[in-house]
Amino acid sequence: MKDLIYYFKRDKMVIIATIILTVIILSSIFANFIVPHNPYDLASVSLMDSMKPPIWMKNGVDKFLLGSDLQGRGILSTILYGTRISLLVGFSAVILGGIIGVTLGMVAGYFGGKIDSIIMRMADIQLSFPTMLIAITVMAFLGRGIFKLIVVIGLATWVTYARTARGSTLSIKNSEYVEAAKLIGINNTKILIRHILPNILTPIIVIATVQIAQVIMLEATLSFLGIGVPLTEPSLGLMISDGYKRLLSGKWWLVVFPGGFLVMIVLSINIIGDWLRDVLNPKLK
Amino acid sequence: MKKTRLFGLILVTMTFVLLINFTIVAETMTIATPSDALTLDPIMLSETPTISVQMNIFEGLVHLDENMDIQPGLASSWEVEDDTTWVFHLQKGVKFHNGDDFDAEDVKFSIERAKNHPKSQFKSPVGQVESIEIIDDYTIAIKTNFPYPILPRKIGRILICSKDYVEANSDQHLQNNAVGTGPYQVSSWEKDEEMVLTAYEDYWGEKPEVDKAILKPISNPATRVSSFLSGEVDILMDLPVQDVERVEEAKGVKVVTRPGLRLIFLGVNTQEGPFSKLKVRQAVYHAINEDAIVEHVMNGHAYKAGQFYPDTIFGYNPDVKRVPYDPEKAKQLLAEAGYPDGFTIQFDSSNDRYMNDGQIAQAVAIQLARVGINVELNVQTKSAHFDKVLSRNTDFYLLGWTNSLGDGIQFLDGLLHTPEDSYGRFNLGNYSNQEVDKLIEEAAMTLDEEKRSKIMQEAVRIGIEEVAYLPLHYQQQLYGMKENIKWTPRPDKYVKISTMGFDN
Repeated sequence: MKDLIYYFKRDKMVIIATIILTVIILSSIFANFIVPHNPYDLASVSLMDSMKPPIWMKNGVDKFLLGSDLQGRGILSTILYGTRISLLVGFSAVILGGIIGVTLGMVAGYFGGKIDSIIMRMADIQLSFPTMLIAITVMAFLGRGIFKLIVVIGLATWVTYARTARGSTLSIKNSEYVEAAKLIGINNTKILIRHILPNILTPIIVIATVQIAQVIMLEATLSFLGIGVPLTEPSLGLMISDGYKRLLSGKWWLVVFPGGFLVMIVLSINIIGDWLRDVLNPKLK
Repeated sequence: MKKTRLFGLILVTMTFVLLINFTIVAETMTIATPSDALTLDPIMLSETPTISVQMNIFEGLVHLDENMDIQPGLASSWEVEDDTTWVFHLQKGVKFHNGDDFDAEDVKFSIERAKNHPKSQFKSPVGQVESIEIIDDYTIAIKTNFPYPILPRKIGRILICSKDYVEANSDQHLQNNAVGTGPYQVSSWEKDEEMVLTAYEDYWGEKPEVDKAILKPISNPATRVSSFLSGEVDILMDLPVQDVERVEEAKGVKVVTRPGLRLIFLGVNTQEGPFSKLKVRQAVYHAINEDAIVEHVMNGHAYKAGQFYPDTIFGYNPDVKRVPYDPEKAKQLLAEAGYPDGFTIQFDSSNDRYMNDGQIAQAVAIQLARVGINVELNVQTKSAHFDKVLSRNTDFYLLGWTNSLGDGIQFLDGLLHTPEDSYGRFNLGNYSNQEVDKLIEEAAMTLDEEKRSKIMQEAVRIGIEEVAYLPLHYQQQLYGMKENIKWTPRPDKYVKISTMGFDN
C-alpha cells in the first residue's frame, strides 16, 4: 500500500485523472443538490425551454448553463443525471460480470477435468461472438431498461474475468499453503474463498478497472442505437444520439458537452487502469 | 475548291451546334428519394414509394390532380347509369410501351387481376366490384354490389397493364419489367442504386417537359441532404426539419413545402382502463399543447389538426375546431372523472416511422406529466411498434394515418366504425358508437355528393366530441429543389415526373 502511494505521487497523469474522476463521480452522485432541476422529473420540463444555446451565446438563458435539449431539459443537469446512470451501469455490470466470471474461472481452474472443459468451452463459444452483437441481440429482444442493460452487459462480459481467474488459480492451486489447507481438511469452498481468491485478486482488479470504461462505452453505444436506457431518462449515449442528428444544423451543444464528458470519464478510468497494471505487475517494475 | 471547303466546314460546325443544342434540350431530372420501389408489378405492393414510381409508368382510368380532385385518365369520361352501374368511356389510340394497343380487354383484365390474384394487395379498392362488362372496344360497364359513390376514386388506384403482356410472362418477370401506357418507361434499374426513366415517344397525352429522370434512393436523411447540397441531385424528397435552415441558406436551391395528408394522432382504448371515461379523454386533449409541439418539436413544419383529415379531403367539417390548450381544465376534468391524483399508463410509440415521432411521444409524456398523468414511455422501432399496436395490445399509442384517396370515408371506415367485418380494421381502441356506425354506412351508399358530405361531417363531429382519437398535427411535406425547377408536389407524395418543368 505504501508502494502504491509512492508511485501514485510520482505520476502526474494519474493524479489528474483521479481528481477528474472523483469530481465527476461525486457531482453525479450528488446531482440532486447541484443542479437546479431534475431532468427525469417530466413535470418539471417544458417544451417552451427547448433548444436554448449555452449561457454565453446569444439567446442563452440563465437557467441553462450549457443550453437545453429539444424537450427543454438542461444539458448540464441531464449530463450529471446521465453520468449517474452510466456509472451505475458501468460499476454494476462489472461487479456482476466479475462475480460470475471469477467464480466460474476459479471453479474451472481449481477442479480441472470435465468441469474445466465445460466452463472454458462455454467461454470459448461466447468469445467467438462479439460482445456488442450479443448485447444488441438480447436488448432488442428484451426492450429498453437500466436493470436489463446491467444484466445483459454483465452476462456478455464474464468471459474475460473467467479466463484470468482460471489462469491465476491454476498457477497457485498447487502452492504449499493450498496443499496445507487441504491437508488439515478445510473444504473446497472455503479454500477457494479464503486462500485462492485473495491471491488472484490483483489481475482481476486491473481488468475490472479497464472494463468499467469499456462497459460505459458499451452502454453509450447501445443507448446511441436506441436499445439502451429509456427515452425519458437519457444517459450520455442517448444524449449524443439525440444530438448528432442536429449537429449539422448548428445545435452543437447537444452533442459536444455529453460527448466531451464521456471522453473525460473513459479516459480517466483508462489512465488509472493502465497505471494500476504497471504498478501491480511485478514483472514490469 | 476553297469555297466548297469553307462550306463544308460551316456545315460541320452547324451540325455540331445543332447536336449540342439538341443535348441541351434533352432535359434530365435527378431525384433523391427516401426509398426505392420494391416491385414494378402494380398490384403486388400498396406502399407509397413503390406506387409513386409506378404512377409514372402506368396509368389508371382516372387520376387525382394536385388538389386531390378527380381528372380523366385512361377513361375520357364516365357516367352513372343506375345506382350500381358505372359506364367508363376509354381513351382511343393509346399504346403500351411494347406497342400493344390499349382497349377494354386490358381494363377488364387488370381490374380482375387486382381482385383475384392471390398475392394482390389491391383487393380492397375493387372489393365492391361485382362484375365488369365490355360493351365495345372502348366502353366498359362496372357493376357494384351496392351504391358505391367513391368507385371512381377507388378504381383510379388500379393501374392498367397489357393483358397480352401479363399473360405471356411470369409474376417473377413482371416484378422487374414494367409495360404500361404512362408517360415514362424504365430504361434501366439497379435496385437501391438508381432507376432511369425516359419519356415514352408514343405517349398519347401531352409530351412531358422532362425527357429523362434518374431516381436515386438514398435512405439516410443526412446523406440525402449532402448529396443535394453538393449539386448531385436536382430534387430532394423528405427534407428533415432540422436541415431546413441549412438548405434555405445554401445558394441556388430552394425549400418547397406542401401540406401533407398524413395525420399524426393518439389512439386510446375507449373500452377499458382510464380512457374509457370520456372526461379523461377530454382532459388529455386539453392537456396537450400542440402549438408547442408544432413549434419546437416540428420546427414549425406541421399543421395543428382539429379533426381526422385536412380540408383538402372530402368530408372535412369546417365547424369542428381543436379544443384549446388548458392544463387547469384538464386537471379539473381528471378530478371529476375520479382521478384527482392522475394515473399511470403505458404509451406506445415508434421512433423511426414518422417525422420526429420519438420526440413527439416524449413531448406528450412530459405534457401529460404536468397534469398528473404518469406516462411510461415505450418507444420502439417501427416493426415492433406496429406488431404491438396492430394486435390491439395497447391502451395508448401514437400512429399516423394517410387518406390517400382524397376522401375521408377511408378514415371513417377504418378507424371510426365499430370493428366488425371489413369495418374498423384500424380502430385499435375499439371505439364504438351506433349512431356513428349508421352515419358511416349511410355515407357509403349515398351517391349525392352534397348529402354524403353532410353525413360524413356529422360523423366527424361526433367522433371529435367523444374524443375517439386525439388529433395532433398534419405533417408538412418538405422538398429541396434547385432554383430553376418548376414543380408543385402532390399532397399524396406521388412523384409525377410529367408535372415537372424548368424555368428558363
